[in-house]
Order: sequence, then structure tokens, then C-alpha cells
Amino acid sequence: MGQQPSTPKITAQDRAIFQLKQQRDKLKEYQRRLTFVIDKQTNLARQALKNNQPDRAKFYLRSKKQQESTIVKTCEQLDNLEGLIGTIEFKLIEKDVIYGLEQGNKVLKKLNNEMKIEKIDKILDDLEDEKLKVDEIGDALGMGSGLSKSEEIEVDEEFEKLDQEVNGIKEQPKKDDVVVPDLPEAPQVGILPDAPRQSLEEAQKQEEEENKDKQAQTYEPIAS
Amino acid sequence: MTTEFTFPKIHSFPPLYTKQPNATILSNQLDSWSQIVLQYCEYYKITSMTLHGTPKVSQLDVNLESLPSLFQNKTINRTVNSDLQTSIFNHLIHKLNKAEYINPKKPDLGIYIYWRTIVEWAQLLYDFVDKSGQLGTVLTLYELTKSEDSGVPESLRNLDEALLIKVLKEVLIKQGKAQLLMTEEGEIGGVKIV
Repeated sequence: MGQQPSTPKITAQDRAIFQLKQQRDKLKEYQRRLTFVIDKQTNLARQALKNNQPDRAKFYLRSKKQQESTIVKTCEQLDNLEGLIGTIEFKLIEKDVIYGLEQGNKVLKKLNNEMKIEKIDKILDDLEDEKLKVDEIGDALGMGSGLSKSEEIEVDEEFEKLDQEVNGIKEQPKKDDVVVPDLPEAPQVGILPDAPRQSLEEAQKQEEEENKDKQAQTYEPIAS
Repeated sequence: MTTEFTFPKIHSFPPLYTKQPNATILSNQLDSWSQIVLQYCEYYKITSMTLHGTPKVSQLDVNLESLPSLFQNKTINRTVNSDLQTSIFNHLIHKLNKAEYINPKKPDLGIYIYWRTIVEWAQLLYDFVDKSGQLGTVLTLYELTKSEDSGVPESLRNLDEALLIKVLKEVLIKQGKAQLLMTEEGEIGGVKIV
């Protein structure tokens, strides 16, 4: 009765590893036992020598040697088992990795399916259409959201005029500063008057502005 | 074990060996004895004892018979009689929750002494498995306690298998963190901790 927390599941692989590990433990225990026997036999051999029983001592030593070689063999088997356990555990991890890749791939595919290029084009087209509709409605109601393009251009012009008023005056002394060091001192005062130069620049700017107006006019039909 | 456990001074206090009639004093006496038992067991890493205070299982590789006896003080020629021994263990079991019968149906089998509670044992074990990156892998009880090369911390080495199983069953499995594996002979042989 009552709630039992879910217990971790034991899989077939767990069982396999468990069995291998049990074998490994048994081998280790066996090694321990052999080491114990070897120690005992060394002592027995020593005692036999003391009791002047060389044959007996030799017998003990021989049997000790045998145990030792058995230990070496069990070590090899242990190596095998450990190797196998390691391989299985690594394979399990690889399996997880592959599963992860598979899942990731699935998700990516699904996402890519949702984002077919034609579909996106269509959505963008639709969006454009809807935008146009919004503009149309805005125009029809005579209160477009924001300014029309021609109005935008007028703003730009005004901005440039203001810019000239504010910054243009400041720029001029700068230009003079740049020019002054290059020219010889004496002729500068008398020979070149300032006035004609300014009028030239103004004329140029006016021309530019006229050009812009023309350009703006050519854009307008496309915009509306 | 090179140095012997030094009993606290009170261990050489003769009245401690006679069951005190006054309830308050008796309670203090039992507290003192409980402390001695716990310190003694922790020092020698004794995890279980007989009901006569003889160590049963220790994590240390020592001859248990060579240890100084707990309830006998030869220098003052005093011994705790079995009645007082029973009271001390009852105090440890029922009052302090620092001991438990190995098998409640067969109290003669002895008791576990919890100088470390089973929850603390479980925490130690879980921390080791977690830190060594072995969560989710199958571990044999052998490698958790006896194996020399499995990197088990000193505190867990040679832990009594019966106690280990108790820790697994009563703490980790109840928390849903462990599952036991049976050997072909039907014994508990391994555990998977997640």
C-alpha cells in the first residue's frame, strides 16, 4: 500500500555486466586464496628446511611455484573479463550516443520540413500583400501610418537646410584652416577675395538640390 | 591497529559498573555507557556486537579478540553485569536510536551499532558511486566493500555485507535510488544505484 517510489529498472545488459563482474570477483577471491596458500607454503618450506627435510621443502616450493603460475593465469583471465566489461559498457554509451543522434536528426528533419523554401516564399509574399493592404487602407482613410515617400524626401531637404545653417558655418573656417598653411602668406590677403568662392559653392549646392528634386520626382510613381 | 583505544576517565569510575537505583542517575549512567560504546565502536570501526559487548564485525583487519574488553575494567577490577549490559543496549536501541537488532526475531544474533546512522552510510555510499561516475552501472557487493582496486574510500572498505544490504534496502531503495541484483543462488549479489 502507499506510494512506492519507482525503482530503477534492471536491463538485460545490466544482468550481463553483473554476471561478468561476479566472475571477476570470484577470480579476485581465488587470487586472494592462492596468495594465502603461497604464504603458507613458503612458511612450511622454511620450517621443513629447519627440520632438515630438504625434499619436503622442495615439494612445498614446487607447489608454491605452481600456485604462482596459476595466479598469473587468473590475472590474464581477469584482464579478459575486465576488457569485456569495459567493451560492453562502452558499447552501451555508444548506443546512447547513436540514439541521441537519431533523435536530434528526427527533430532537425521535422523542423526543416516546416521550413520549406516555397512555403517561406509564399508566407513572405502574403506578408507583402497584407502590408500593401494596410497601406491602401491607410491612404484611403487619409492618414497613412507615418509619412509618404515624398513627405519623407521633404523632411530630408529640410534637414539638410537646417544642417547647413547649423553646421555649414562651422565647416568653413575649418576649410580655411586646412588651406592656409599650404599657401604662401603674402599673396593671400590681397589677391584672392573670399566672396566669389562662396557664391560658387552655393551655386553647386543648389544644383545638387535640384538634381535631388528631379530624382525624387522620378521615384515617386514607383512608390505610390 | 597500533594504538589502543583510550577509554574516557569515567570508564575507571567504579560506580559506573553498578546499576544505579535512582532513575535520573541511572539515565545519566546509561548515557555515559552509550557514549563509551559508540566511541569504542567508532574507534575500532565495529559495526556489530553481541549482546555481551563482544565485537562481531569490524571494518578493520584486526583480531577482534585482542581488543580491550568494553565492559570489563581490569585496573579497577570491575565488570558490567549482564543486567546492566542489557539496560545499556536497550538504551542505545530504544532511547538513542544508535543501535538495532541484527534480527529482531533473534536478538541473540547481536546488534548493529550505529556510530554512523544507516542514512549516513547510505550518503557515503551514494557520494562514492556518484563521484566515481558509476551511477547507473551495476556494482557487485564485493567490489563495493572488499575489492582493493575499485577505489572505494577508506570509510566504506570492508563494510559488513549484511549492514551494506540493510543500508541499501532501508534507505536507497526506499528513496528509489537503488535496485538489487540477485545471484543465481538467489542471494543479493549486486546493486544498481542511480
